[in-house]
Amino acid sequence: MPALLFCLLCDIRCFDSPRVGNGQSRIMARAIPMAIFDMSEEDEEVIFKRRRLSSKEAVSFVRSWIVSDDDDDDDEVITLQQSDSILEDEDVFKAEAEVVDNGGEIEVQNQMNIFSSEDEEEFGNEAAIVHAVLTDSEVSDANHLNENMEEEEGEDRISALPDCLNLEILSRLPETKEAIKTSSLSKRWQYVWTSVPNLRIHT
Amino acid sequence: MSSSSSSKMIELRSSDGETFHVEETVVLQSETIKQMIDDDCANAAIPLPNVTSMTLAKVIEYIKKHAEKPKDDDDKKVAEEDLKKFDAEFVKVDQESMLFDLVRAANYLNIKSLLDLTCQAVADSIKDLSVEEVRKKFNIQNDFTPEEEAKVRKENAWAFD
Repeated sequence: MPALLFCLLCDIRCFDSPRVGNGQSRIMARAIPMAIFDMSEEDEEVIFKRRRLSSKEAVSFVRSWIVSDDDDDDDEVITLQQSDSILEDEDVFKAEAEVVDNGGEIEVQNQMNIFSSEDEEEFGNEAAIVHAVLTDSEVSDANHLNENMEEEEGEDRISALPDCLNLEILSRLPETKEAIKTSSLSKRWQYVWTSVPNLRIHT
Repeated sequence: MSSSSSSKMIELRSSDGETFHVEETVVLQSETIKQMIDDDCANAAIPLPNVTSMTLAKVIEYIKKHAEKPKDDDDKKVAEEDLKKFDAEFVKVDQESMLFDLVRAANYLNIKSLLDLTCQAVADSIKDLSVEEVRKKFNIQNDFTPEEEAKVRKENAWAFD
């Protein structure tokens, strides 16, 4: 199944001509996978379904990228194309990211999406839409992501449960007070308790 | 079970491709699978794309035990006690992640008693803990700023006494 992988580019180093503009330049960058969406087609609609990254997919990779800017106006969004030729066909990625030419220094801002080249024609437009799904906090968490993926034990399995199941758990606490306390665990939990169907209050 | 010899076998396939053969009478505890059987969709192996073989094996252990029927009233009492013990042991899993896998599987397969059991087990494990202890236990990242957290606590101050 085709999948859309979101990465954050960091540790960017430029080589060749560091100019973004007419023609091309090359950068080296480490890509940290952030999220993955499986894609499928149903009744001519493209369905994106987010899932957890597998440990294999979560590994960050350093690659060199060709930066090219098609049109002459200073459009912020340019195309990065992986220039590593030793990769297998299925590993050839194309990426989009916001790249800013900052007086000779190239800065890649925000996340980019990477998709295998064969899916690009089919899903290219939709990819741009999903691009916006990743939130700022997820981007800022990127640096911790790899470490967390390494160790199973570091996973937050309870927050990953859908609300309906967390409600099943909260509704089984002996007192509703206990459920309300979960509002201060994290933002994820702030309002979960408000849907608990039963009230158990001891005075 | 006395009637088991004549019971039809149902084939289940886990997300990682392992197949399990379970008696139909046992597997009917899953409303999801019961529906499939009723709809005549269970002639080939039933794929369970959300359940790994490790979790499915546990679930089958549970429904097999719960399908046992006592012979007479005396036996019934013993069996009830026995089942209680089994349930208590069943949720004592080595890895906490297994408990959450079971919660998800029980929900997906719609096995009410297993969902009750596993959710109750999670609730029991957190009921006497402080907020800080719960975060630590489940690796919950506190993404509130100190000000935000203070505000949340203040809104429901009575619960935090």
